[in-house]
Amino acid sequence: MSWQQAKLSHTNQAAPAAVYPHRRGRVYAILGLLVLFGVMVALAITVGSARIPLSTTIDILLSKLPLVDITPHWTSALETIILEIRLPRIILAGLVGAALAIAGATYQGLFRNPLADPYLIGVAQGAALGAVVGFILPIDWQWLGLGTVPLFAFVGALLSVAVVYTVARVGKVMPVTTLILAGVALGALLSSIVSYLIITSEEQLHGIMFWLMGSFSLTQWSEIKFVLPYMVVGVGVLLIYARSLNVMQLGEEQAQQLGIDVEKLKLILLTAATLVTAAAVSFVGIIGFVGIIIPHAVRLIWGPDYRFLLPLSVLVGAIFLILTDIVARTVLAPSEVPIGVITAFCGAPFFLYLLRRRTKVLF
Amino acid sequence: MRLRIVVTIFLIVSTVLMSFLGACTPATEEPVPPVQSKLTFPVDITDQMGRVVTIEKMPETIVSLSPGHTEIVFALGLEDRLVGVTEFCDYPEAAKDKPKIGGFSTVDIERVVGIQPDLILAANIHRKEVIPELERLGLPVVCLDPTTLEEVLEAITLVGKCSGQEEKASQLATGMGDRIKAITYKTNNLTPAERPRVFYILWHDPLMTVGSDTRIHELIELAGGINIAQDLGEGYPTISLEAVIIANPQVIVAGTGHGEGAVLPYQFALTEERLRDVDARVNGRVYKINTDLVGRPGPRIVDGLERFAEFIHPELFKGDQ
Amino acid sequence: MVKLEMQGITLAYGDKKIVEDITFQVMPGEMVGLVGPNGSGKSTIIKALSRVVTPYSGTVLINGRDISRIPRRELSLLISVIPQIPLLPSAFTAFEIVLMGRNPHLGLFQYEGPRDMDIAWQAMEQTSTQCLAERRISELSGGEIQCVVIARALTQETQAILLDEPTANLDISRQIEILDLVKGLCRKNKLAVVAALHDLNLAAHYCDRLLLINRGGIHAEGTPIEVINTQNLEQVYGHGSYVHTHPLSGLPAVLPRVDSSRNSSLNK
Repeated sequence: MSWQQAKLSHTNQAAPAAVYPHRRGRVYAILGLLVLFGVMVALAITVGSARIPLSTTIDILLSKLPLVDITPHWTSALETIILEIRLPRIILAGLVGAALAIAGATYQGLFRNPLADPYLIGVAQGAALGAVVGFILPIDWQWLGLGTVPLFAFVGALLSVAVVYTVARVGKVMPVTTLILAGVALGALLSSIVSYLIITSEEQLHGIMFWLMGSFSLTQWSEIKFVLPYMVVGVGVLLIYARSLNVMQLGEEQAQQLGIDVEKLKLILLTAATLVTAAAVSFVGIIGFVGIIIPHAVRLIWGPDYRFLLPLSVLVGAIFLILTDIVARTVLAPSEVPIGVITAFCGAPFFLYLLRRRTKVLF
Repeated sequence: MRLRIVVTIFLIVSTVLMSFLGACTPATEEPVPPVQSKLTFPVDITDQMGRVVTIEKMPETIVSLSPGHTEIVFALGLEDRLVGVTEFCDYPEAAKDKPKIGGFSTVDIERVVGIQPDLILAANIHRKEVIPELERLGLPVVCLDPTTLEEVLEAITLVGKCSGQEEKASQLATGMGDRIKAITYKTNNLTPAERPRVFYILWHDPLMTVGSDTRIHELIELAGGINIAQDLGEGYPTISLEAVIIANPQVIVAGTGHGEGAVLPYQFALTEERLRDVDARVNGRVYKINTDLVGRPGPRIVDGLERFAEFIHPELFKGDQ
Repeated sequence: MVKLEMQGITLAYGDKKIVEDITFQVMPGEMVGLVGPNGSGKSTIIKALSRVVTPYSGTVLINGRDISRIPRRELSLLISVIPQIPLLPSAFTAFEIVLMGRNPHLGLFQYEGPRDMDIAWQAMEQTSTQCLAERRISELSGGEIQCVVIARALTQETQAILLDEPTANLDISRQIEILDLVKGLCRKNKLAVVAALHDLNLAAHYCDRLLLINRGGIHAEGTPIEVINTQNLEQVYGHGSYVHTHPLSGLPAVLPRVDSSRNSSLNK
């Protein structure tokens, strides 16, 4: 019988280095992007509608480090601008860009659908409804230095996804198609409620419309303190499950056969991605484009392996949004353009260029 | 003496206006005498959109599509003829009891048609859709769109003309003109160094202020201040907090509007941490003003001007706090 | 070494019962073939064995343990599956797909190490897919994808392997190569192998025992000679084929029946 002669023993051949999943190149990419991120932050601090000399900016920043002793030769106004207006804004832009990009990549992997974005299952619409309710209600809380609008938006975002999840779940199983459909339906319902509320409350109109378009203009440190834990935890969890997300790409059946507890993974990924998206949207409004296109751009350049796709998306998303925010506050300075308007403007041409250059399969 | 100069100037302006009206009944071609008018209907007037409208007869029923116009109507003593106002018409108190015909930008055309008024007073936001629609339905619409203080006075005169209340309108306009003069007399000759930098907050999030073509900007200038946003363009632009800090306004005025967010811009002006070193905050010169006084093109806009004068030049204008 | 058992298994999709009250065992070192017509439930049985489908009633045991109580990861260290129509994400390379077979062996925070890579590489050598390692799935043919998935199952290094029509897309030499490989590993490592096969000749040649599944039940069970006979085939498949004895191996060989209608079409 020929099977007795089959190749059963290992020839003890080691896998050639070439076939190792391009690890080194991608690790260098991560390092390179970290450097680029630093450069972008530095650029963002020095640019703005107020002209501040570079040396002054550096001195102001240095003076805040412990053990550094510089006698202030600048006005308190400049210090306020650098440390209390620009710096928190840049940090939040970076956090939000990172959050939306990684959430988008996760949703695309979870649903195995290249058109998925962080707002697919109702997060944005829930946040919008919460924000509008917060605008309209006669309550004016301040909790931890945060107003009613972002807090209501955050709760609204989480609640709407919870509803969608509950509706989609059948016993212990949550079919992703049902989840998408429920999310789209609920999102449409919430959207129409938001529109109705906006129309019937004419005076608050401009405030709400601008919020919906997204803006970093009045970012405060207190907002960053609220958002940071959710971002760190959420992004951390997603990065941990990156390899599992790879295996999920085989489909639920094969993934189960390879040892993935599919329902548990879906719940974990959904929760983490929703958490970071909700945190991002509540303070900034709805910023489109980042969540869907940044992951694809990263895929185009560095491939579909989620263990690199997720961290690279974090970095590229952060860099992109910081850059976009620079544009938003300088192009019509001292006026500001809402950032949601600019993201597609900045990003789409570059993405189209990428698509033209590459011919290999995208997803 | 001063009064006579003002009146004469005003009469010349009115005459110039009327001489552009084209061939009408002889009565309208005479220069308008200062007191009694013998205006008879029908009358052709040119509204502030440039439309020529024929008012067939003395209007018995008037509908106002804007709170400012409502105030004018009341001020001219025409409230008995007012049969339709917007939901936002709240001054004077009696206006609230009038039948409603919709919101400011959301006019219920059906209701207006149901009333079949003899005169409709519209505003510039009604240009695109509401006015053509009303014209198509054969209703007499007059558009008032004053962009300067001067044009507000003209609007009042126009309403007076449309409604046969020329005398009352003339008195009102004159009185307003006098109060304006009382202020500009003192502020016209101020040097730039004597004019404080003023920051007007329309809304705080996003931070919005007033551009150089707005009435509020004009009020600031007439009251002897400099609008820090004057180079910012037109309309109601956003402004970055950075730019405000750098501009270092000496006076901040926040508009308080209606609804739940009414007092938020003022609160912002008083409490925003990052504005703490700005001159206006350091010297406690942060004020609020009812936006109806500065936003509505009606009789009370001079009240707004006077408040601004008190805020900006307290040393010249003492208010009755 | 594992022993697989199905006890009184009834499988259904909704209310529609596919198979009823099936009981059989697979011992270590044994290769059992599931044969039967299309739609007879072979694939569903494979899915039940790997806990993709929950039985309507009955239990599946591995070494006496109910598999529904075993955590997924542990189960995937015991059983690997080669699916019938594997849908693979098209942007990954073949090597990356094969490497995913190491997933059960890695903890949450672990990455694949050199040993994992070597195991994957050798599995690709055994399945003659090394040349495909750098190629993306979108560029591969159905047969090549099949071999990649088989390599992945080998990489999983399990004690039991389930194969669902593994040779459907392969040419004859590949079919033989793959089945040689699986049978060899089965014998050498004492694996328990269950293979759903539609090709009765291959099933007869490679499997130690066969289960002929028809109309929701086991029509016949036994050695290939016992199960594949003309009478069984007629009852299950109809009149179109008959069983001949392979001249060299003595095992049954299934051939189309020669009769007048078929002859006349050939003679034209």
